[in-house]
Parts: sequence; structure tokens; C-alpha cells
Amino acid sequence: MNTQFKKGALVLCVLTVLNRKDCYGYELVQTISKNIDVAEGTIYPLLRRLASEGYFETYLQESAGGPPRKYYRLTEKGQEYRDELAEEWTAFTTGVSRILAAPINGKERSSD
Amino acid sequence: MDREQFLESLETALKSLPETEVREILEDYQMHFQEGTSDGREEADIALALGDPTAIGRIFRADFMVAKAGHSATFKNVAGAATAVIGLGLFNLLFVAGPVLVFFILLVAVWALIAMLALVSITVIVASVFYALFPSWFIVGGVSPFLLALGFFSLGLGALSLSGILGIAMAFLTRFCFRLLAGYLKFNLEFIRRRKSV
Repeated sequence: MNTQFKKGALVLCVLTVLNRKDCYGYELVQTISKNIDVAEGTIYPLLRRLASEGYFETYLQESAGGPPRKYYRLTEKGQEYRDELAEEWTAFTTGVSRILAAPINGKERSSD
Repeated sequence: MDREQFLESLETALKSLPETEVREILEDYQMHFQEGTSDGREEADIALALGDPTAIGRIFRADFMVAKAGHSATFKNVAGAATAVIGLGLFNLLFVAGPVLVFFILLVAVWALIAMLALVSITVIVASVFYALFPSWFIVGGVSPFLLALGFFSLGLGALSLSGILGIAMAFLTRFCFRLLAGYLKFNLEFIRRRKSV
């Protein structure tokens, strides 16, 4: 799949995962990279930026048999932003699907 | 590449950032390696999946510089942010360098104009004082030297205050432009992020 395209959805994915539950960094990165082919290391800059823009808060929580983990929690602002992006995304992909499904002006483009 | 090498390369790429910032970033990656290892993964695999530490460092740097320019839009911060964003890849050069260059050339041109106006008016004032004191140095037929000096003096004073007013206006305009430019860089970074690597 096109790199440009899938990267565009990354912010939405991160916000959506955190909208379901608070995650620690590794957990969040694994959830994303299990589904999307992405350099895992590039998700951390994104987390840091979104946190600095007030979309998440972070807190430390003890883990079994290890140092405390840093958890990310979506703020109200982050939730609003997620909903906005999700709406845009749905409108866009619905449009693309419609175009893909129905040939424009009844003409089928020859495959080349 | 193992954990040590990855973290070292990342630290090198982050060296221009404040120490606390670097420490926090490195902690996140240290934790990532730790979690990955207890997940049963090899360090080399974890590093491979993370990607190029130098490229990752550049993203952090560009983010930091743009945020800094957004908070305080000084010449230094905005220029630093522009450089960092350009450093993300050649593709961005077109989108960043063009508008930035036009901005700076325009600003420099107007400032040069104000400086010249100030210089000329100061020259006229100084010359008129000399004329009042030593009229014999100047050859002007039929006009009262004192009157002529007064005329030039007030002319110079007027021009000087005009350049002063323009200077103050320009100072505000310059700050506004920097703020605008910082906003543009931020937009640009988001735009690039949507098209290229995060």
C-alpha cells in the first residue's frame, strides 16, 4: 500500500486506540504496528507531539516485575480531535469507495 | 544494530535539544527495548522494527524547533525551525525554502529602506548644524545662512522621526511575520507528515 496514504491515518489510529483504553508506549506501538506496516520508532515522536499539544496526559503506573510504565490517557481535547479526524476519514474513504465501486460516466477504464 | 548502538545514534541525533528533553526521549526507547526483550524479542529485531535512529532524531528535532518557534517567534528560532524542517528531506525544501526566502528578503528590504532614511536625515541634520556654525564653508548665494540651516535642520528632523515611526511599525510587523512563518512551518510539518514518513 502507498506509504503516504497509510501514514496519514496514523494520528487517527493512535487517538482511537487510546480512546478505548489507556496504554503504555510499547503496548500502543505494538497495537499499531500489528495492523499497519510502519517504522515503530516513528510513533514515539508522534506521541510526544500530541502530548505536548494537549491531546494526551501521561502518568506512571507500577508494572509486575519491572520499572513503572508511562501510560498515555486521552484528554477531552484529544477526544474531540479524534472525533473530528474520524469524521473526515469516514467521509473521505466513503467517497473513495464510491468512486472505486461505480465507473464514472458509465465508462470503464481499461487496465494498463 | 543492538540496543546500545541504537540509543547512541539516537542520542547523537538529539544533541542540540535540551538535556531533559533528550533524557525523556531516550527513556521511552529504553523502555521500548526492555518491554520488547521481556516479550521474547531479540534486541536486533526490536531495533530493526524501530527504524533508523538518525531519522527518528530528526523528527524529534524538527518538532521541538517548530514548537519553540511557535512559542517565541524570534529570528533565531524561526530560522532554526526552518532549517530543521528542511533537514527532514529534500522534498520539503521546495515547500519551506521558497516562502521563507521571500519573507526574509522582503523584511530585509524594508529594514534597509528605513535605515537609509535615518542615515540621510542624520546627515542633513549634522550638515545644517555645520552650516549654521560655519556658513563660509558653504557657497549659497543670497539666502540667509541661518534660515537655510533652520530649514535643513527641520527637514532632517522630520525625516528622522518618520524613519523612527516606520521603524517601530516595522518592528511590530516583523514580529507578526515571524509568528506567521512559525505557523506556516507547523502547518508544513503536519502536511509533510501526512505525505511522507511520520
